[in-house]
Amino acid sequence: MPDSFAMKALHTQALVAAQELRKCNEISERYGLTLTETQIQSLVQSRFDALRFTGRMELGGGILPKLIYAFCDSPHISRIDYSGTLAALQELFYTFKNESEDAMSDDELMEAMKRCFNGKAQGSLEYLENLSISDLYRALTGNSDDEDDDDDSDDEDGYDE
Amino acid sequence: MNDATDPALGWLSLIDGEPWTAKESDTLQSRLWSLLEKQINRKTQGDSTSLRVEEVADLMESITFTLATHLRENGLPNRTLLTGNINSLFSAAQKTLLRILDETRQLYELALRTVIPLRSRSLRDTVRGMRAFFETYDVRLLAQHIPAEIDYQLCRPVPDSMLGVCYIREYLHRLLIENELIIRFDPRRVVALLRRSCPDYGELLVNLYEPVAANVIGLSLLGGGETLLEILSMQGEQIRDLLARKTFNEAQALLQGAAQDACQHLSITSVASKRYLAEAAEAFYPRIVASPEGFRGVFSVVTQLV
Repeated sequence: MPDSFAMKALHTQALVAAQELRKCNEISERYGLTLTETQIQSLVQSRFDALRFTGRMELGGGILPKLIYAFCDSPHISRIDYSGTLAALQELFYTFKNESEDAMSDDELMEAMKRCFNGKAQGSLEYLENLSISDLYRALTGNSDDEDDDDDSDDEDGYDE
Repeated sequence: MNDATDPALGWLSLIDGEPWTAKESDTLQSRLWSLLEKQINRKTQGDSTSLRVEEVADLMESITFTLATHLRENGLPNRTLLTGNINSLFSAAQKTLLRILDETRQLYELALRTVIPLRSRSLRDTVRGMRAFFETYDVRLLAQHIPAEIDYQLCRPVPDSMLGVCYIREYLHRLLIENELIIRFDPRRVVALLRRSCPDYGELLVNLYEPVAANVIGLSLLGGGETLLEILSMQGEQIRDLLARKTFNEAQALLQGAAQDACQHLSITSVASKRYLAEAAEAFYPRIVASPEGFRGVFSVVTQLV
């Protein structure tokens, strides 16, 4: 691809994405969460990195605005780690898309991630990244064992010592 | 910058004509990009804003293949892509592919009615299995794909550069040409010839046309008797000597003439069939003259005439 077109396309995408993130501040500031201009630029860049890392391609402004709307009311996101959490959620989102072989729509996956993040994970990104696709399906379909004592079932399965 | 083989333009880089200038290439890519966005939305049905890079590349290849096929089939200049409504052009291009698909389906029906497998498992399975192509071919999003298992080898293979429905159309076209020659003969003689050529031909990926064409050409070079399909070892030597005495160009002309004569004797009138046999005949030459016994690898010889 000639550089001129590719660069223009990327530049346009970055501008659109930044503009959409600025708009998101209007909603998220109700929950005390805002992104600075530096954080916005950094998130835009991290989106391209995440896409490259996960081998995906995206048109338009990206998934971040939807992630912000979904997660900004979470009690587990603080002002200090807001930007970093968004970047991590974004990368996890694309990774889960690949792992599920796109079987879940964007909205379904985001809802599942949100339920897990606010539920069992209690805001732990490490917990979230160790979830399997079936965990996400269970969270989405409401068959989550959030309320169950899952230690029992794990013991019964007997795979872990 | 002139960029005649720009990978981003895929099949559009290969269309005959002046290479794209850098500015034209940029314009074309932005127009293709708008088509790609629509195709991604069609593919995901709005459920996803992202796709794996391989899937996006597949969609883009389908777009460029569809447009390139439309231009080639309708004799349109490649600059057509730079003007007018690209969405309308793409719709017209998809209609062109649908027309080719209809044409190919008719060829397939003809093949089902006329192609005789002559105990060749690969030919029988390939023709039967090709039905899956018409059931699963995705002209809308993956037009360059060939969802069919094609094991049977043609004498003159379809070039790898042909894709999608164009590949299947060309394959069937060539298969019917090959069949046109084979059905000129008593099937028992053909089977006997094939067994002489390769005793297990029925279970192997062996082309049925080539041994028949070889003996037809050989007998035609000797002055006739094509309908018998039988060549003696002594006749094989005569053919080799005949060709070996000639220059390359003379030998090629001789083989082409033999193909024409054979077609006349066998009442094969189609230009494509005549050309196909002539091309097959030309390809025999290096193998016949390669060594004193080279003809044995081309002609299926018999010890005595029946």
